[in-house]
Order: sequence, then C-alpha cells, then structure tokens
Amino acid sequence: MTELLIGTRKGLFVLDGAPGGQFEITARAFAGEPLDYAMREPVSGRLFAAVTSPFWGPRIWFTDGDVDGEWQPATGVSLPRGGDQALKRIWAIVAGDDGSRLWAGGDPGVLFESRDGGASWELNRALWEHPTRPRWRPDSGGLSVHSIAPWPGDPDRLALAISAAGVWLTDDGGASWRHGNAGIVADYLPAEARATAIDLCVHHLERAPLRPERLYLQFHGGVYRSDDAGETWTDIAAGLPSDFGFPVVLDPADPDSAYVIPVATQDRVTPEGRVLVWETRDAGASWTAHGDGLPQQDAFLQVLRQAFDRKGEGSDLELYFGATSGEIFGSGDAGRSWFGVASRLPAIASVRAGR
Amino acid sequence: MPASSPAHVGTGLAAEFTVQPYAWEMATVRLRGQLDKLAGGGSEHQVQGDTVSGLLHALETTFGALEGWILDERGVLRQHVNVFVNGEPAQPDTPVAQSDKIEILPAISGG
Repeated sequence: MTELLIGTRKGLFVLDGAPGGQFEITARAFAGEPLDYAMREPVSGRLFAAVTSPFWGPRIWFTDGDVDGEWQPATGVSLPRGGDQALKRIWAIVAGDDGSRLWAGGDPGVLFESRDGGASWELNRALWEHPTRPRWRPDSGGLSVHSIAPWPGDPDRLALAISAAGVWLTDDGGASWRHGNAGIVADYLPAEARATAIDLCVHHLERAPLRPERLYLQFHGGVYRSDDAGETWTDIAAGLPSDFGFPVVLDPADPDSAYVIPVATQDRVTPEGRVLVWETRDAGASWTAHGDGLPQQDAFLQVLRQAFDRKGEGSDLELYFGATSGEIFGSGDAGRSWFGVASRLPAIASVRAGR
Repeated sequence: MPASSPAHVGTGLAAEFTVQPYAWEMATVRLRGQLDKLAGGGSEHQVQGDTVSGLLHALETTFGALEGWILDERGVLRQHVNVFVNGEPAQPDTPVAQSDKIEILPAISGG
C-alpha cells in the first residue's frame, strides 16, 4: 500500500492505494488552509505539515496519531524577535537517514534544524547571518530554501538550494556555509554578470544516496549534475525539449538516474499540451520521454517543485506527481507507464509518497 | 504613573519586581478557536495595555504559546488579523481603557 500526502491550497489530503489499483482519499487535515508541504518521517512515523495560515502566519505542525485528529504546533519556527523580518513560509521538511535530525527550509532564505524529532526547531544562525545575505534576491515565489539534501550517514554535511541565491554547502553541521555554484550559467543575467552572480534561481536539487557526491539540479533554464558534492556543475539538459522545469526525482538505487518534467520557458506549462516525464539512466548523457497513460493533447499542466516524488527503488520504483489543476498521476514501473490517481483536488503544491 | 500601569519597584539585582494591576483594572480579551486553545481555554482573559499594541504584547507575555500568532517576529500585527475594541475595528495605536472588551478575529477571507 502506498500513502500519498498531498499538500494543496485547501489543506492536506491523504490518499492510499497501490499502482494499478484505485487510490482513495482516506483523510484530510487543515481543511481550507494553504498547505505548502507535508511529509512523514519514516523512522518515527511522525507526520509533519507546513501550513501558511493567511491569518496566523506560517507554522510547522506535527502529529503521531490520526491525520484527521489532533496536531501540535512545533516551537521555534520563527525568526529572531524584534528584527525587521518575519518568516513567510516553510517550503520543505527533510529528515536525515536515521531520523535523528530534521531540517526545514523557508522564506526568507532560512534553515531550521530539529534534534528532538521535530517538536522544537532552531534557526541556523550561520546562514541567517551570512555576510552575503544583503545581496540575496528572491524570485517571484519568494526567497526560499526549498531543497535540503543531507549526506547519508553524515548529518553534518548538507547541500541546500535557495531561490534565488544558489547552492549552499556545509561540512560542519551548518556552522559555516559556502557557495557551490561553479558551472551554473544564469541566462537571465547579462553575460558580464554571470561569472560572479549569486542570484541563481535553483528550482530543485536532489542527492543520489548511493553516490552522495552526485547531485542533480533543475535550474531556471538548465538541468545540471554535480559529481563533486556540489562544488561544480555540468549542464545535462541536451536532449530535453526544454531546459526549464521545477522538480527532479531520482531512483535511489541508481546514481545515474534522474526524472524531470520539462515545461515551456515562456508559459511554464507542459509544452504543446503534452505531459511527458523524461528519464535519464546515464547521468544525463541521454533522455527518454515517458507519456504512456499521461495526457497527450490539450494538457497544459503546472507541476510545482515539491509536487513530484517517488516510493521504493529499482524495479519497485513508483513515481507520483501532482499539478496545480488538481490532477495526480502515478507510475508503478519506474515511469514506463502511468495512471490517473486523482483528478479533482485543489491546486497541488506538494506530493510525498511513502509507507 | 497611571494606577493601571505596572509599577517597577526597587533597584539592584534582586530587588526589582513588577506589581501586577488588579483584574478590574484590565481589559477583557476574548479569544476563539486556536488562539483560545493556546491560551489555555476559558475564552476571556484579563490583560493590561494602554493601546491595542501594548495589550497584544502583554497577551503574548502572559500566554507564551501565543507568541507569533497575532504579532509577527517584528512585533507587527499580522495583516489578516482584525482587532475590535468594544465592537469597533481598532488599529495598533487605538487606546484601550479599563473594562474595554477586546476581540481578536481572523479577517474576512475568500477564494
């Protein structure tokens, strides 16, 4: 049985089912509230939800019980009191491989860490007070830490991606941070400014767990791979119909694998009304399109950066993505064929698969 | 110093303390839903403040779990939170008098 946690503009939907069978909505929570991200920490089973209440502000909630039961607000998810900025949104919640540490990324370009299972959180001061911060620029969605890639077995090593402040690396548990942007080319900047630019609009970043020095990155124009833990990047977008897109998903069993959903540069919807998921199994040297079971005409979908996920690996790899149109599609065979999971949900911000 | 203001008495490391005003000198704050839950229930709470802003800060001080819900980290009233004093819409600088009734409600929303 697969559990899908679907964050929507109108709250959390939980769907249960199996590839090839029917998925059913089994629970809801935070009905009517913008739910930006939800995930289940696999070791403890604890559920987390990032909710941006239009009234009471952004918050992380958690529960160990029923989804439609009691949730508790986590503490510490805020900026320093008395400053000139307020937390706007939590974009991502990521657990380390043993569950002992969790990280949450948010707007304005902030990282929180929890060492008590997610009940309390602490702002990462080194990133918050980084001397380059005055030069960071938001994109239209804000200044967001949306991608957090822990290093398996070494929670002191992290890679982050910030829109639009590039890739950030730490090897000391977040005590210090350095850029990892070499090789990324921002076509949206004047050529003279590209070499030294830090306002780099990374859309998503993922680490290959079996080869942790390898990362994949979907950029605001470009798909990149790093083989040196994010220090340098190589463009691997050749062969894709568009180098623009938002999410990236990897097969954990294969460091040479990546899946992307290209969208047109101009309107940021699936090109020519066709929904295609593109797969590489040779680290980006070539790409294969998968559309079997996906809409192939008059389908202009927006798939946001947190709205594509996987469960399992290798021959058991399942893939799921949701669109702002409220549709969810799934694959039980690593992307070769697809089926409709749901079709009439509110606009989908995040999809997380598990259990 | 107005009778309803906290009086700071004494100096030095151990001598300074605050004398809390009597309940009848405070405004009554009505909370609903999640805010009431965070404040421990009971719906109505006696809180002191000369203005709406002062009262909201005092409310957060009294009920720590409310910190960040009504005022953001800057101390600014959240954009879509409405405060009423005796049924009238109020601003952060609206004066608050003893025995006033304060309500804190989410703004009208749609879509």
